[in-house]
Amino acid sequence: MAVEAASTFAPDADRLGSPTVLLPKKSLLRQLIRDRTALVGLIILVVMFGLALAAPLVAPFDPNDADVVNRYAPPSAEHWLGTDNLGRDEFSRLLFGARISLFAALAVGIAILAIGIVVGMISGFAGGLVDGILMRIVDVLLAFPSLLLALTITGMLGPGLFHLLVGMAVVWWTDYARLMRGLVLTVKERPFIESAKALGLPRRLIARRHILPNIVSPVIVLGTLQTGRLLLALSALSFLGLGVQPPTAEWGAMLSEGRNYLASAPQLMLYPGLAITIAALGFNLLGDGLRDILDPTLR
Amino acid sequence: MTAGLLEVQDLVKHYPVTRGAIMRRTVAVSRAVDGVSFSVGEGETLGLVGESGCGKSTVARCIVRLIDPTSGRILFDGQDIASCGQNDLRNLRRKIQIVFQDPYGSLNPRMSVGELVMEPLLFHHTVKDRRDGSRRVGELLEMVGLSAEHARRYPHEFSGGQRQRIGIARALASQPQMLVLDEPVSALDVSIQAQILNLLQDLQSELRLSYLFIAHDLSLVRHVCHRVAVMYLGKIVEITGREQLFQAPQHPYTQALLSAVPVPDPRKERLRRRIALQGTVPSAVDPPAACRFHTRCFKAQPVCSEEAPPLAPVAGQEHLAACHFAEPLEVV
Repeated sequence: MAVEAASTFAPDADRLGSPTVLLPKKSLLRQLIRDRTALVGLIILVVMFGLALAAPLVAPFDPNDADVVNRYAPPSAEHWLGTDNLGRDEFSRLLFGARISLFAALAVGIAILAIGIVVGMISGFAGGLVDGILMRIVDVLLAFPSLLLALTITGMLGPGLFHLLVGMAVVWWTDYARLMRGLVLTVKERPFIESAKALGLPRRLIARRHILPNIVSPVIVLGTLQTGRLLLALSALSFLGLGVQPPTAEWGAMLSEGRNYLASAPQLMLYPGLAITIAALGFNLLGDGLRDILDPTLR
Repeated sequence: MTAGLLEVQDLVKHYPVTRGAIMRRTVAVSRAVDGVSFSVGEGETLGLVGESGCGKSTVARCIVRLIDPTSGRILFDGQDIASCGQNDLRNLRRKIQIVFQDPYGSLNPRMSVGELVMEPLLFHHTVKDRRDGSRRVGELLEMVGLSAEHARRYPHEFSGGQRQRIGIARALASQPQMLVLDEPVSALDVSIQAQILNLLQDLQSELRLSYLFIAHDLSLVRHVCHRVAVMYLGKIVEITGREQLFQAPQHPYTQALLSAVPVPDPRKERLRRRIALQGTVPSAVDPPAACRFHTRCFKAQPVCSEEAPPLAPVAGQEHLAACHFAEPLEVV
């Protein structure tokens, strides 16, 4: 008979430890580098975040230094991207703007991802009344135009970047929650979950080891798309005067400021617009690559 | 036979049939399993056969407590699986494991084969640490006819038969005394079926395992089982040793089933009388009164719809059948 000393130990959930299955064992970075799509996305993001972090060192001018004599200057050796309506160096403003735009979008992205994953997992797992209540909350939030709701919340809290981020997080977690719930419900019914139950694994381990790894990839894809969208929403709300206050440089704020001079100096909208587009592209490419890497059947 | 390793006593599983989303009310019950009793001895294989929907998979799921039975007892080594608490249950699950029908779906596609087999090892403390575990994973994989190098690969890289071997390795990891095999080969090609069955038989004699072998293919059952129980609509209608069942079936339903099994000899085949049953299986929500088979039985008499025949010895103590008119009939 095959029962011996081992039976004196209680089955132990903690020994299974971290979900090593979540990420492949080979270094993730190495695989990212081998995947060309992911590599391009990674390079874009690394360069952009790097420049943002190093803005005070790299930027040739103070972003708020107005040189009124030298307004709307075309690109030159001194002002790489020219100057804006107040004669501020456009390149320096883009660099400093990246610090706010990129990190704020990332912060909101991570916050709503966390809220959405937790709510979605609970909803999908618990079902019944809990699920009903949570999903009705989501329905209510989805029924409002999200930008308007974020605007209202931020307005109530008072203008300011942090309040804007809170307002955005409160509104935008719903997509993740819905997606997560749906995914949990699908994966929950797959036979290998039953197999894990038959093994005696407790629910939280089943959730962590068997359900979560099977639903991360759509969430990552949504996350990267969302971050691009958040970047735009952030700009829109800044434009409305709720977030970043002038004269602080921020891509969205720069974009909206530039709108006033669209006819005379279209480059003032072009540069921040391009920056936002390229950043969003970087997120999307990285997300695409990550999805391929995280799915072993595509490897 | 002595008291079995697994004793199932009067197992019942009823599913409520509900109406309405908000004001949910039960309008009927589906009697998926309705009073099933059997035992499986140490090192023995009991076959559980019956057509789709007769409740055989429900029995399997109750035994490993994937679903809670409505009533009845499931004694494993004297301990009741049906009513024990979480801690006892985990201990029991180490000793009784299940192999599923679907080799494609029952392995987590995100886990490597090594990780899949490692999971029960670590969880049930069968090994000291991961290094010890890796060695054991290799042993288990070799035991089921794969090689230790396969541990690094992922399930989608394997064929159906190989995946089923992985499923078996995973089930064996916690060193169980008994495996519930829920149609382990019905998703596989015939040639692969034989390989898996032979593997199961080898493992049984090597590790002295007990099997509850669930199947709908009688020729498989004849190949691997020591004893066979036949289920119809949530009840066992006949249970006996393999040879008695195939040579002298007593219950009309068993006889009808066996008469449908083709015989390889065409001359014999021509002389056989095929028992064709009329109609379809009645719903488990509203099963026929008394003997559940009387609506389709070629022997049915008035008494069959008035009085339920008990599962009683008909030819010796080991051969039980639930029929008022049980008598042997050579059909194979």
